[in-house]
Amino acid sequence: MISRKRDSLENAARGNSLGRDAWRRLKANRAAMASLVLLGLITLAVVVGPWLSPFNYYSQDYDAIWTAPSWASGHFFGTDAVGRDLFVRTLNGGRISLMVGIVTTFVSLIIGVTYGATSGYLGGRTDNLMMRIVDILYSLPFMFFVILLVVFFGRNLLLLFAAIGAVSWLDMARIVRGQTLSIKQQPYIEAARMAGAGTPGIIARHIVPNLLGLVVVYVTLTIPQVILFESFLSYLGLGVQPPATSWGALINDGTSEMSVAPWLLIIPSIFLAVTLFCFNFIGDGLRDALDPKDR
Amino acid sequence: MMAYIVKRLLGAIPTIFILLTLTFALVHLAPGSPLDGDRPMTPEVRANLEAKYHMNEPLIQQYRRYLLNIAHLDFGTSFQYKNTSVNSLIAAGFPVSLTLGAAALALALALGIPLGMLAAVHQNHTADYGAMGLSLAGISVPNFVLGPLMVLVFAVYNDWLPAGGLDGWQSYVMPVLALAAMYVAYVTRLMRASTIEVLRSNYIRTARAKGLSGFRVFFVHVLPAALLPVVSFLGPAAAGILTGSVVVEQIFGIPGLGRFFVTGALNRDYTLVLGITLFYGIIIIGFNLLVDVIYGWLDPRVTY
Repeated sequence: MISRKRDSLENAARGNSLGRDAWRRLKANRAAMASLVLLGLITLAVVVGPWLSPFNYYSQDYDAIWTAPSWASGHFFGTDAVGRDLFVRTLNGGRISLMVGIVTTFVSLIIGVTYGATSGYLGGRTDNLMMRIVDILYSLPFMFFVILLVVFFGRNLLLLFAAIGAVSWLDMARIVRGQTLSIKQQPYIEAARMAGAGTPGIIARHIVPNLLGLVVVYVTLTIPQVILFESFLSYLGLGVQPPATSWGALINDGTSEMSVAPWLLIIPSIFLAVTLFCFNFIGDGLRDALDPKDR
Repeated sequence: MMAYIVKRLLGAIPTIFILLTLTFALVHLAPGSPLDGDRPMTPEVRANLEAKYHMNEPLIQQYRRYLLNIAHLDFGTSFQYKNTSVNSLIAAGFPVSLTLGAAALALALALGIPLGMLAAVHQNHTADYGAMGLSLAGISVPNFVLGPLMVLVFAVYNDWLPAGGLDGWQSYVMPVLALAAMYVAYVTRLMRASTIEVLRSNYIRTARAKGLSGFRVFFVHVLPAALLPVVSFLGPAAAGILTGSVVVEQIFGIPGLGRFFVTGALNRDYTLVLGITLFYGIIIIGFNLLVDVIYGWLDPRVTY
């Protein structure tokens, strides 16, 4: 009896951490949870799927041109104009699309958080100058710049990562700076300073960890933007080069053959749209979960 | 007000300067030369061509010439369309792109603003979920998916609309829809969020308390304040729509500036691609400037 009472007291005293509260709210959001599951399935299929299929993404089979999707032939999603299996190509394309999305977002995350936290923490004239630079970069037509870059320097995946990453950190930097401005007023930052911590230490150890919630939300919203951006370039024929493929490149192929083989357009389109939809839903759900005042 | 406009105009100068410098640096850092064609040329021919394009001068002099040319709005000669100036290509393509973009922006506002207001007024009810679901779909279905799918349904399977080309108003229907969809979605979300925020503010409560009609409160007090975020979104939206038209013109075979840009990019037509980038860059910077001025004029809290 006594021990049970103490138990419940301890529970009450422990309370709920911010993270647990957020997780509870996110779990209550059915759309976000469904998206999370669906996205997990797509990721799994994209990673594992190509190994399970008897076909590969580059072999051509002139006996099986424009086969409609069917169980019997083994081409679940049909084949394209040179007899390549669309199932494997879609999953392989998904690997590239998701990889570009994640790696590039990581690049933009590192630049954006470092830049924004530094600018916000230092404040004053440095902050003014750093944000002025972001403002200027903001008003440049970046999509055109990336295309210029790709045209002048040739088309390779690494350049694509770097170029899109270098473009998409601006939002992150602005948001992180805003949050840093309010975090640096907190007593624990003052305490750290009193204890003799240096500026880089305070930024890395005390500011950045407290930005995480916000950063997680913007990461989930940046990934779909980057995937979209890569698909856009690949659609124009400026992204991933054949025989490698991505969802954008597949949609481009599908567009030119849609009157004879509509599945070539429709299936990759569904994969791209569903993935973007899931990321957006999860991002919205996370934002609501971490910042319930906006609901 | 005048002082503010002048200040903003001066503020745009470094931006344009950086735009020009970055593009110049890109061109000169790129490996190879635009003269490396499929046919080998004798050294004399090459030297003559280099002299013609001023490629034999020191870099700093080329940079000065480049800035001077741009200042005179002279973007040079296209490599791909021989003997055609980039200026004349821009003059041919831009009106088409402008029509397309303006129609898409107008549609985005005409649909997005009422949808967002509707969602905000019925927050957390059926109308809200409907509008939000629609706008999430709009954000997740890119124009290069929506465009071809519309062609498939409305031009290939049913012969209702032309699949491409530019022939009467009908050929604008699908491109404008494809281009506008994503911006309808963004405007709806923005408008919903800002309307909800304004509806909760104290001055709206005051307006209600002193007995104004719901209609008057909404259209006189809520709407102007709620529109402000949409106004500041116009700048990025215009930039996005211009970029989006690159892909949409490609899908529907519309002879606009975006299509020149893509063919130029695929054929390594340096001057054309560069010219269009600069042209669009300057337009976007100018449009942002205009939006800022309008914002300052609409929002009484902005001081000059």
